[in-house]
Amino acid sequence: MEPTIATEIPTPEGAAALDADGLDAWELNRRLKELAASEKAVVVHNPRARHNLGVGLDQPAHIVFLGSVGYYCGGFNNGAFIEIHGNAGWGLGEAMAAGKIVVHGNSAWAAGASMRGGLIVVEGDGGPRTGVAMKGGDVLVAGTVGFMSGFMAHAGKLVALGGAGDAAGASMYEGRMFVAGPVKSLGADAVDVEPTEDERREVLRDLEENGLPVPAGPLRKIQAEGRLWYFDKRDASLWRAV
Amino acid sequence: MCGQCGVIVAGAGPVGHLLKEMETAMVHRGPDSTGFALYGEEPREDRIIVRARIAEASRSDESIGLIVDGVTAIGGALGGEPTVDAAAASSDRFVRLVVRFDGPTEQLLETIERVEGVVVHSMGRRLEIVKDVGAANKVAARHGIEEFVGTHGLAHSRLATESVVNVEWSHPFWARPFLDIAIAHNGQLTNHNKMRRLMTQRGLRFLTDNDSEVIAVFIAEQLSLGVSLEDALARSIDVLDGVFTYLLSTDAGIGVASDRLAIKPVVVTETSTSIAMATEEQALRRIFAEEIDTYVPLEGTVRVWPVPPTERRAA
Repeated sequence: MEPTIATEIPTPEGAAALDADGLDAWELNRRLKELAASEKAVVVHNPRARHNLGVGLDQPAHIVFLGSVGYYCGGFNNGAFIEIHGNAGWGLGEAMAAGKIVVHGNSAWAAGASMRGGLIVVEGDGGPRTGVAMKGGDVLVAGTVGFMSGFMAHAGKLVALGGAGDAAGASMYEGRMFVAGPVKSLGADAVDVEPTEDERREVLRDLEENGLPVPAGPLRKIQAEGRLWYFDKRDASLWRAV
Repeated sequence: MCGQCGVIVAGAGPVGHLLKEMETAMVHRGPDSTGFALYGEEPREDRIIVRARIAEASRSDESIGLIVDGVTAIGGALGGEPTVDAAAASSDRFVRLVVRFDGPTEQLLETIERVEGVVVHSMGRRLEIVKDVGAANKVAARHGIEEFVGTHGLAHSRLATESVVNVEWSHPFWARPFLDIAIAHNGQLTNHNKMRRLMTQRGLRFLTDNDSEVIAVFIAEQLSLGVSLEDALARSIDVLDGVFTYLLSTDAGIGVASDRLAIKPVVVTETSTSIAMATEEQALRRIFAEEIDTYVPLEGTVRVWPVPPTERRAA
């Protein structure tokens, strides 16, 4: 059955169409890669929140999913522009290296996990552990991010305009987290600092470029204090608190 | 892993069919065993529906005869012919009995299980638990789940991590001996042995050493003390140690509770005609052809959805 949402969404002109129904994830991704190599844009119908859609794309094509996607959508993305007209499940864009993923809905658990580069934009809320173990790239979330977002981020930038859940930025390395709105609590070794003028400009430019609103309240930066970076026996109590 | 789901339909509907469809979409999460906790549409104060397994197929008539004798001896009576199903293990039979009995539920349970080889899976005014070894579509076909009409229910596909793969250790669990209370659970507890020991000292009894059964009985005990389902679920988040997202059903509704780490997923949709929750969104998409809004309950929170009252259902 055609999802009702399909008729209301503007799709790229001249895009090739691919119906996900009846194709397993391997076959679907194989055809998607084939089309991405020859077409500028591909519209995927009936994703039905299935897992592993659009994994391993390495072409700069524009891929549009008409509906929600399941786990690991856009994983290992290496240059594609993926748009999702619905929600994304667990591990959106996991380990992506380049390209862009836009979710016109919410992302569930661990969006951008271990990503190395590229950009993820979530127009709704991000779930728990958004940006966990990021090693580069940017994640921009218009709404809130959940528990332990930014956990162990090595590098990269996570922006949440609606606030963050408990243990924000826990055990980070050199990841940077920018939050407007309430932060329920900071994670282990996380500190809340005033962003520099350059950083504020950088975040506002990112938001503007991606059609996200200017935050209403003050923007805070969460970063690691660095007390967990090297083990010191005297800090044992701090480690136990993690 | 494990994949679980629940559904509430406004007015009685094809609950068995909906749960089977959702579980079939999540079979990759645990093909060891599948179970359904179904709530039929007509609660009757004077009857208890019993679902049980008889270990020896060749003796099933004899065992049912002994059950009836036992029930009669404690002042109860059978309210209709028992129905018997073949289980996945060809040596087993499943039986459904309707019993009229006014005494304590524990007494009825004990009487039935005194018959050798008989294990009770559920007792309730409406609750019927059907569970068996195998994947969702096979278990559903074997036990006529598709045809079940009711108000709400739970289902679960199990990937065993904490205990053995067999019928009694599969989900949903009945919170024995509390009528109409069932649980489906995704996760592992680390303090369930200690909890079970303390609860046993309070006189509660368990069928298995499974962690999920402990949660069910814990919640049922709270409810029996007059605590609301919402408060009981909230207390469980403080008491349980481990990772969990579980669905708990009573004859009045379904509740969900997740631990503070939000490790185990659940996605919910609420439409004008039904409420459904599942481990994965694709299970919800399986039963809703139209576009739906879904949301993820946050970590450390509980939600309760009541079954619409009967008057409204009839309208």
